[in-house]
Amino acid sequence: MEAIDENGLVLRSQSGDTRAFADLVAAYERVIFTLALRMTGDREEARDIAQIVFLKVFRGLPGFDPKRRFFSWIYRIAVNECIDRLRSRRPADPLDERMEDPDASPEGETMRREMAATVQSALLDLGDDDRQVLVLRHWLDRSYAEISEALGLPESTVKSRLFEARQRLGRALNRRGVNQ
Amino acid sequence: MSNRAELERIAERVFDGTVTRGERERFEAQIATDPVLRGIWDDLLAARGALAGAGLEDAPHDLRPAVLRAIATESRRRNVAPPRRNAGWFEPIVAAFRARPALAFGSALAFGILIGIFAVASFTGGFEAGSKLAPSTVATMPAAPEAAAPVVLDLDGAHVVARTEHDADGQNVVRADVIVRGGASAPATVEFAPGSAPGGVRVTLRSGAGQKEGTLSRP
Repeated sequence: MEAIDENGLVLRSQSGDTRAFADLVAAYERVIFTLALRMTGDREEARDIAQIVFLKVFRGLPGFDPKRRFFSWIYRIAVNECIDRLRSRRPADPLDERMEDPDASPEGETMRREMAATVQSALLDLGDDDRQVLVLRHWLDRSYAEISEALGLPESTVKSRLFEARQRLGRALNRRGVNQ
Repeated sequence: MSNRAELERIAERVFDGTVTRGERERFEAQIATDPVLRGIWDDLLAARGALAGAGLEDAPHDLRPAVLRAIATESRRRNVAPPRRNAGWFEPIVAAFRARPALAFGSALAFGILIGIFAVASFTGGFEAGSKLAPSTVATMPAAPEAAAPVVLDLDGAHVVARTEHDADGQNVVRADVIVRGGASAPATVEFAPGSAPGGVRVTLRSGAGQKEGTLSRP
C-alpha cells in the first residue's frame, strides 16, 4: 500500500470531505476485499461485504476516535461482517472453493491458480479464528503488533495462535496432497 | 529449552524468512528421531510453501464506484430527514421535496438552519460550585422516531438526558433535559440531527472540552 496520510484522510472524511473518503476507500479496497475473499471464499460475497464495510465505515466515521488505529477499526467491522455472513449460511450451503474468477482464462497461470484454489480450499477447512490470524499475517502482511491490536490479544497469544493455525493449514494441505 | 518451544521459535523465523540455513539444519537434525515433532514440522513446511504466494487480491473494478455512489446517495438522504412513523405533518413536506428537487435543496438548507435554531439549547456555566445545580432547560424536536432507551451524555459539567416521549397530541418528540453544573468551563450546546444516524436521531453535546454523541435508536 502506498504511504498515505491516513490520519489526515480520516479527519477530513470526518468533516464531510467525500474526496478524502474516496482516497480511504482506494487505500483499503484491496485489503478489505482480500480479507473478505479469504474469509468467505466467494468473490461475489467478498465484493458485497467490502461495499457494506465501507458504507458502515462512512456512517460510523463521526463517532470514530482518530487516536485509534484506523486499520484496527475497519478490520473489526470487516471481520464481523464476514462472520455474520458465514453464520447466515445454511448448513447445506457449506464453505467451498467459490473463489475462482469466472473471467479468468483456464489456460493462463494454471499452476499458480491451482495452488491458490487449493490453499483457499484448505483455508476454508479451518475455524474463523485460525483463518483470521493467517489472513492478517500472510495476505494482509500485518505485523504482530497490528494483529494483536486488531484482535485484542497479546502478541504472545497471536504468535501461538499463528503457530497452531499454520500447523492446521499444513495438515489440511497434506490431505489435499500438498507437501513441502 | 524444550524441542517443542524450539520448534515454535524456529517455525516463526521460518515463516518470517529470518532463519539461517545452519539453524534450520541443526534443528531438523535435532527432531529427526521425534516423529511427533517431525510431523508438526512437515505440516508447517507445507503451509509455508503454500503461503509463499499469498498476497493482496485486486478488488473488483466496480467496487469503488459502487461504494462512492452509495455514499453519495446516503449523503443526499442525510440532507432531508426521511418520513418516520408518527411523522404527522412531516410526510407531505418530504413528499414535496421528492417531487421538486430544487425546492428540496433550498428548503433542506433553510430547514437545517431552523432546526438548528429550534433545537439547540445553549447555556453558560459559571454558577456556584458545589452541590447546587445550575439551571436546567429542555429542548425538544417534533416528529421523532420512538427510541428504545434514553441517551445520557456528560461533558465538562454539562449533563444531558435525551429521550423520546409523547407530547399532548400523542406525537413522539425528542426531549433533552440539560443541566449545567457549577464549574463548567464553556458554553454547552445540544444538537439533534434527525436522519444522520441510521434508524435514529443523533444527539450531540458540545462544549469547550470537545463533544460527545449518542444515538436515540429505535427499539
